[in-house]
Amino acid sequence: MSLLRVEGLTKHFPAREGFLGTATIHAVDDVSFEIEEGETFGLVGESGSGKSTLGRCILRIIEPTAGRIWFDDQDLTALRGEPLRTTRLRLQAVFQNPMGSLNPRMRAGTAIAEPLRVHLKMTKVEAESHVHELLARVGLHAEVAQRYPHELSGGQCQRVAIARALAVEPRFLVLDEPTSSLDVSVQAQIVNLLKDLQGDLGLTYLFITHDLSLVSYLADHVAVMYLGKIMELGKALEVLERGSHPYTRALFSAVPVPDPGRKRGRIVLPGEIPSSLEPPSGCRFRTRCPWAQERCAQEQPLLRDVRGTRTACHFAESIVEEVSA
Amino acid sequence: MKALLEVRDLSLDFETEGGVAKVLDRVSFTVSESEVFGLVGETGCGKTVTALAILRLLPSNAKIRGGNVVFLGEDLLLKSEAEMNRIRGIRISMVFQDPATSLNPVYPVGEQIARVVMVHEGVERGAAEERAIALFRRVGLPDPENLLRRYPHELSGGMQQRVMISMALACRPKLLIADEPTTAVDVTIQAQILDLLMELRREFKLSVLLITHNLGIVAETCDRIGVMYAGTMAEVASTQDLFREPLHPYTQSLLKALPRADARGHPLASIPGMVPSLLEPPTGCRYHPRCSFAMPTCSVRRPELLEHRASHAASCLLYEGVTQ
Repeated sequence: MSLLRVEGLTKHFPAREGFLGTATIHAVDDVSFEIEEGETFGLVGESGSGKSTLGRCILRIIEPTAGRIWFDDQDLTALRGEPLRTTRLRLQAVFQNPMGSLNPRMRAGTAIAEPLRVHLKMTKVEAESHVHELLARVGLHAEVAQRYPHELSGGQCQRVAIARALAVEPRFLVLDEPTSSLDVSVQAQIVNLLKDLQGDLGLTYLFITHDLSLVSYLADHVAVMYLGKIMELGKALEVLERGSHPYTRALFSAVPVPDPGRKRGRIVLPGEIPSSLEPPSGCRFRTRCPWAQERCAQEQPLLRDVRGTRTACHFAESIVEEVSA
Repeated sequence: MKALLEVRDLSLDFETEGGVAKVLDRVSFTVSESEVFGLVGETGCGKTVTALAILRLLPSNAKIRGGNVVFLGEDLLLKSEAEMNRIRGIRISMVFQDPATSLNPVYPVGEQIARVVMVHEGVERGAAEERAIALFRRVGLPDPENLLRRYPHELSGGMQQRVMISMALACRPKLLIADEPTTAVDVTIQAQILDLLMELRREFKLSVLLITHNLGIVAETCDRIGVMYAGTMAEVASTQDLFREPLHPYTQSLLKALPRADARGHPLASIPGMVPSLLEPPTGCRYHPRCSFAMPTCSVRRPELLEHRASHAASCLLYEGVTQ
């Protein structure tokens, strides 16, 4: 059963342009997917693809323009006031920059105790012993509770941020690039920790990242976004290894592989990501797609089943044949 | 192959408020002519400082304690500032990580390149601008004539980095130092920039010192690689040898820590502990407190960077014992 279901989610931001008139940033446009309980759902894409905006809409940090988000059969977008507050405790987040997401003037222990005091109405003493449990859970020594963020390393800060997110016993975590500011060896520690926590606590993850090797290592399902739209969606290895959308192919072929013996056909995409103020008509990827045809400019491709994944491309079958040939 | 640049036993300290940080400890490597040499390592390992030391662009609190930087047979550490000015940008140039802060925001990009050519080669403005246009065209920037009058903020990150590359090549250097040239851009743009660098390297017969933390990038672009750890050179080898048969325990752990599809379901290898403070680096081998193969001597004796296989050097006592 799916724990989280996103239906037709759209987020437009108003943008001022010149003296007159306004423009619209199409950050996320009509996106739908489901996340199973206990799985890791990878959301990948380059800057400006809308992946972080999508994560923030799910958390209701920002309000979606349209669409529905179902969490445990409850419509999150319809909740207001107290029900929203209590339901939202079930969904927590860990962000990219751990130093930035912790209050520099607050000791790590106080930061972790805050949600316990505010939401679970714990007394100071109760919270304190709980903080020590949480610190142990994320592999930190109890003495870290007395430290300020600047006294901790990036990896330690990220562990504190994870402990804080876990304090209110959520079921679902939005992990927005949680390891991209960390070195490889520290990233490995944090990724292992997240996997362990998921196994022990039965957590469900939405893992937002631009790091495709990370997704291939830990995601069960993956959605590839480009300019606010899902290009391809499916089981992680199906998408990564046998994806049929030309953007998926190009994206994965662009990742440098730490294996000098392996030579792959690289598809180097021309040009840059267009502005989300005026996304291209039809298929948003068409301006950089080496296979684009007239139909791509006129008709927006919808997600459909192609060779074991769901792909939004009119010509997926023939492109896969050509690339594999 | 002839050596173009030879860094020999380079040691340097930073004098900080907290004490003396021993930032580089006897770092050695060679970049041959027309070679791409990759310098990899995690944050704070000293790879950028090494590059800045080569160009003598170190901050004023840096003190070089010993070693040589031999470029085309001459020690750059013995050169006067005036002599260095005739080497920087002409014989050796550098591309930095963040093009947005490397370009001057108040001058058009064409002006910035033209000035490099005018200052270094004493040519007229018209000729310098012609050169800038040709370079813009060569690095694949659209509408180069018009671009001459554009300001950095009007360009995307990928375009800014192309401008930086064209500026670095303006005086046809022998050696290009590229410090994390693609860290600030997306993967599809990264692929474009790396392809461009590799094309230009052949065309201009450049040697490249590529600094990065990305092991994928070095695997795909470099001929040889040096792995740095906490201010020391852990291992130097050809790209094939380094990935096929890494000798240093640090390199081995680093490669195992990389997430990849075929490791699914298994925990990633992680290195216990943290990178040490360089104010008080560990005695002996700087990696020994985190090394799973550490022996009692490792905390006492400093390993030498020695060739334990043909053209494959590592600084690790495990191998010194074997070879003796």
